[in-house]
Amino acid sequence: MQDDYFSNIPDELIVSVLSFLNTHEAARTSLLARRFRHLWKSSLSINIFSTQIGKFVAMADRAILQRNPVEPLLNLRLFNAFIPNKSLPVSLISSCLIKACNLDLRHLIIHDSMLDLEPILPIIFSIHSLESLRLDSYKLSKEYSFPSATMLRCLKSLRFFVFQVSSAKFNRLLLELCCLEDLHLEMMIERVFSISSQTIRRLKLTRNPRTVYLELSTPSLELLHYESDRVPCIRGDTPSLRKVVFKFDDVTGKDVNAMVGLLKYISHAEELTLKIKEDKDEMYPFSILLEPGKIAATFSRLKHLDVTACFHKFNLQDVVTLLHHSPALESVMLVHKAAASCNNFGANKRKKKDWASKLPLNADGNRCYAYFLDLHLGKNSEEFMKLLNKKFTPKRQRMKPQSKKCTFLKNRGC
Amino acid sequence: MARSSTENMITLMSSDGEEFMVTEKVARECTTIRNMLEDDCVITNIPLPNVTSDILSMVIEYCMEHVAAAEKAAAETAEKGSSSAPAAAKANKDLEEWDKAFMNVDVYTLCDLILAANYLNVSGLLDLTIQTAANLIKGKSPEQIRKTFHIQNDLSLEEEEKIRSQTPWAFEKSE
Repeated sequence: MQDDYFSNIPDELIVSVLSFLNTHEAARTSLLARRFRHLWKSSLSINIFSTQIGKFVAMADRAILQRNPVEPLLNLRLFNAFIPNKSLPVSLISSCLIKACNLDLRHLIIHDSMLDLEPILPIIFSIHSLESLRLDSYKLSKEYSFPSATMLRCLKSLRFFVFQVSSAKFNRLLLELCCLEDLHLEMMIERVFSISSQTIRRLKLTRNPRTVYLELSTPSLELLHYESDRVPCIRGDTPSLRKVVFKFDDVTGKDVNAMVGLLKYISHAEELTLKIKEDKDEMYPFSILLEPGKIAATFSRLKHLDVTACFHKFNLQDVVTLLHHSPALESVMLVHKAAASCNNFGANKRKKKDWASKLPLNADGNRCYAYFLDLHLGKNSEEFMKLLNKKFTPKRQRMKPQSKKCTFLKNRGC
Repeated sequence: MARSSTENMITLMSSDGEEFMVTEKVARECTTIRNMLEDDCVITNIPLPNVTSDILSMVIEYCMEHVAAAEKAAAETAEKGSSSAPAAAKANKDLEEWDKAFMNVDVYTLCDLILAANYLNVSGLLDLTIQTAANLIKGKSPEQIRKTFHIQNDLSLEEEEKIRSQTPWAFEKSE
């Protein structure tokens, strides 16, 4: 037994190791040696994922329902990885959650897009020790009223997937979550949505399929992260906002108003990360960050700017204007992401020349990126001043479509 | 750092009698030692009968790296009033890379490091080593795990059969 590397390691540490594993892998160690037979049953995390419903039920039954009630359980993750159109059995999930309720559960993730959450949420909302909750299911109807959440006094983090509950109903829930700091909603279906919370500090809204009108009443909000195809319209009260991340994938010339409004709305932030991709049907580069002829907002507190975009002439010009309006800058990172290539089918025939990067040559001798760090120390300032003083041709308008094929662009009001 | 010359030095003594001089700040990364120092602040020589010199030198290396990274971040924050986000992100990534390279050790040493991190109560190192050990178990058959950790199988055939029949899902290959 001298050889056994684990012989000196106490059981509790081996249990910690097993807690990092999926439940079927942790259970596999029961066959290693006599000492390991029952250790996995004390694991602090249960992670069940399966592609077969029968197996899932067997695992949940053994690992959760038959669990020794004196062993605390911190993490429970249930992943339905099986064939679509089939959900985990609601009765099984319910009994697992009732059991977990008495085991001091802190973190719960249920990933099952078809699972009917309505009978399950009242049980989840009674787990008073819960600190983080993630539910990936689209089976919550628009008019669903959440059960009372006053038991969730420790809940700090909440995440919903395919969210279609109306904002009035959701805000009633938020009102009861007195410790909530992180909120993440994925694929919001509602077009008009408001979020009101005194405590939320980080808000993440991702994969929203359409333009959203968002009203925020979140005085503690520090981080706003918004990812979508289209540019949203955001209004409201966010005085503590410090950091903003925006990612838009199908930007068109029509989005410029929304974008300008959005930048104005977050102009008091200290850090801004912006990732923009032009819609693949846009043939000619255009100005998206600034409305031609109008004065840009002032970013008086902006310290860090990080832009990933196709740095064609207009984007570079707009970013340079932004830099001129940001007196507190400390670092700037500009990364060129080439627009989708032009040899696809259909009308998507972009001229490479129009979409080429106009960033200054960098140390590597290309125009793929431009970093300016420690600007406040005066380092790098020479290159930076060069960029700031870059002269652009006075015309600030969109290139005119030249071929007849693209008259549809005109029709769309471009 | 200029400050370290005026800082208290502590001598840690390994089980095989080797002495390691470290700054108090580095020693305090070990919660066990921090508690000793708080109980008795004049202590300068600490014997660690459970840790061999080669393992102790690795633990110290880990603590020094992490103290240095934290000091660097703090210095930057003090200088500017706030830390530069891209620089902080890069520093975090560098430290992660360092941790990853640090974990490039044989399994025997890894197990000793788990024990030392647990005894000295260095929470960062304990998490790192335990996660690394879990990665060594992931995706392996019981026979492969036994081989990796030199575990002797002391189960009888009947016991093995019983375990397999109790949790058959754990021994199917598909997932």
